[in-house]
Amino acid sequence: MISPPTILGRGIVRKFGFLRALDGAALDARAGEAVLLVGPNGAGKTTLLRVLAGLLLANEGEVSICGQSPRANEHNVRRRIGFLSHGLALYGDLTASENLGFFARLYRVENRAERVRAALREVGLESWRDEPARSFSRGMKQRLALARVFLHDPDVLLLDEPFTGLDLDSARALADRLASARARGGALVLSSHHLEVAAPLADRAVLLRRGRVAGEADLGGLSASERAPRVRELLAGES
Amino acid sequence: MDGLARVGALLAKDLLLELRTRQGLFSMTLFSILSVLLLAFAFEPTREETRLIAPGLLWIAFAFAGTIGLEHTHAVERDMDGMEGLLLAPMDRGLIYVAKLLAGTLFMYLAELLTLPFFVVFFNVDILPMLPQMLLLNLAGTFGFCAVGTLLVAVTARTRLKGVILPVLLFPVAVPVLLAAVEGTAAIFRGESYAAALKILIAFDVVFASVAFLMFGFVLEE
Amino acid sequence: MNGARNRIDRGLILLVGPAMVLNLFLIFYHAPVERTMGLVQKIFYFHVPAAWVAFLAFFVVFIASIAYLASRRASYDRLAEASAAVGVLFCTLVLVTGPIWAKPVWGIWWTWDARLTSTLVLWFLYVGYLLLRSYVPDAARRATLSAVLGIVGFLDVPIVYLSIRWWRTQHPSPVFAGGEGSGLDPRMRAAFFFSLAVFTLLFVVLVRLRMRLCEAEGRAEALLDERRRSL
Repeated sequence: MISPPTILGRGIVRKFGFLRALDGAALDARAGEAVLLVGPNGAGKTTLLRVLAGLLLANEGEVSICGQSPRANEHNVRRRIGFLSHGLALYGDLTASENLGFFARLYRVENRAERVRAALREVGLESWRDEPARSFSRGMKQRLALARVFLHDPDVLLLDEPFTGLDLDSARALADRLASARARGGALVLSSHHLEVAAPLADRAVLLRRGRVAGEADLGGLSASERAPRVRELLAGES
Repeated sequence: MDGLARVGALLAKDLLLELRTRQGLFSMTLFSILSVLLLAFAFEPTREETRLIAPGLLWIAFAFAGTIGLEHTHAVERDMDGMEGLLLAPMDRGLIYVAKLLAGTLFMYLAELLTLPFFVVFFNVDILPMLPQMLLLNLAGTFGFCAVGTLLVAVTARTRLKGVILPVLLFPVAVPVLLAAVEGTAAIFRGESYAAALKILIAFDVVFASVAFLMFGFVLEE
Repeated sequence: MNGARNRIDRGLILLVGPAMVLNLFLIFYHAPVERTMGLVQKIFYFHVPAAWVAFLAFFVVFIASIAYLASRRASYDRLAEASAAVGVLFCTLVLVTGPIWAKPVWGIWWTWDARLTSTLVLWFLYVGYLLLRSYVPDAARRATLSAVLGIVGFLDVPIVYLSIRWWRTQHPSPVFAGGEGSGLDPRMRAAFFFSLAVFTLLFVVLVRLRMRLCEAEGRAEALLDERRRSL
């Protein structure tokens, strides 16, 4: 029996030295829910996503993904997380398909070759499959990184600025992909400044400021076109 | 089983990266040969006394070159933050250590093998009859050096200015391994039994690799 | 709480100051001059206690490093840093006083004795430790990385000692082994153990002061961060 995908963080404090990057931040997303994380630079969005993904230790507070700690010894829960950050997590001297092939092996994905091909097709990189990732433009690197995120079919998605560098078509394709992940019952948290594409995806927007939740907006009842203005209101209200 | 497969995947990735660029092995070998050359300048290589210190000279060259190799196996993870992908993967982080240790040992060992002919030529030492013993001892010494080095390069990679302080941290910790390796090589050169040194070296290898394996997770965590 | 700590520190300083003067008196007036080595033997009342304190300090670094990794409490990290810094200081004293004694007695500055050589390796290890700390600006990361080195370094100490003893010792054990029946004059023994106690006390005082300095530095750093963030 697999537990439903959930993301939960309570009272998270993360210090860098004496600086409190997160100061009691809380966030949760249920199965089939998408949460948009917004806030000014340095508010702690990236730190929060990294703590949720288990890449950073929380000094205080509770983090649980699908009811387990992402740092738990049995790693089943990490297998369900798809995480994207500015770092991209790729190898410049490997080709696109070698990059994905490697991560497919690390995640013990079945039908590897086929899955890699499908993932490349999905992000429109199949004709670049044998080119080294270093030669890619920023947007192509971002697409390859996204292919890596989805490769093992995660149902918990933690995405830090996923729309960065994407052209309009790719951004729409990603939005569709995220919407379908949500429709299939996945839990989703993304941070983004691209409100026009990101807001329509989200059921809720959470405003982070100085490492704390400074406001929340329910977007569920609004039409797709009303959501971005509502998030902008939320952002404007914070000052 | 899964663990073994993952170490295999990690190792294959490092080998493929090296095969693509050949930068790590090339710079390491070049530096190793260069060190032998410099040492040949410093100590007149034709004198009989120089032969007595030849094992020490050889390991100085290997140790210097080894730091470059270790730094390189870690630098490929920094390039586009591949390390983040490894940390996210559903596996024990100790496996990363195991794979990096094996890759580092392999590359450094290869660089040593490529240096030996130049050593033979520059110092006029006939190593052919003792080659099998040397190959075995070098493997044990290189593994021990990399066992410590793989941990410490992960430490220094997370500092400001990245790897610059690696040798300063690595050499004092690696003193026992280097001493044992030099003594073993000297015994081989003298035509004596090197079994004692080899045994101790293997014991050091086990101790260093186990301690480093246990500590590695702490280094990567944040 | 700060007040109590201040009082303790002041008391300790008031204690250790006169004790050090008394120590000098015991060493130079109370203890007799050694027959064969002469006045230069006096250096042992400093050399050996300094060596003891250095090893004690590095042992404290080891324990504090383990405690930090287990608990993540910053105070253990401060203890490790303070102890390493004081340990390097005393280790330097050992390395300076050793050759001063060796030159007139053995006729050479340096001997590749296992103890002396391991002490030198130790000195490099812990200077490296302090160097590593200075290279990591983020406090949490600095604490974790240096704790790893503090543990690996200390576990390395006996291995370094053994390997040097096996392969690099050219002299028999030093004279002042202090084993059974070494026939030490009771006044010498008194001076020696008093010196040992005073050095240990000095270590405690220095570590305490150094820890407070580390804490103050951390707070200053925090204020700076706060300021940077509000700008």
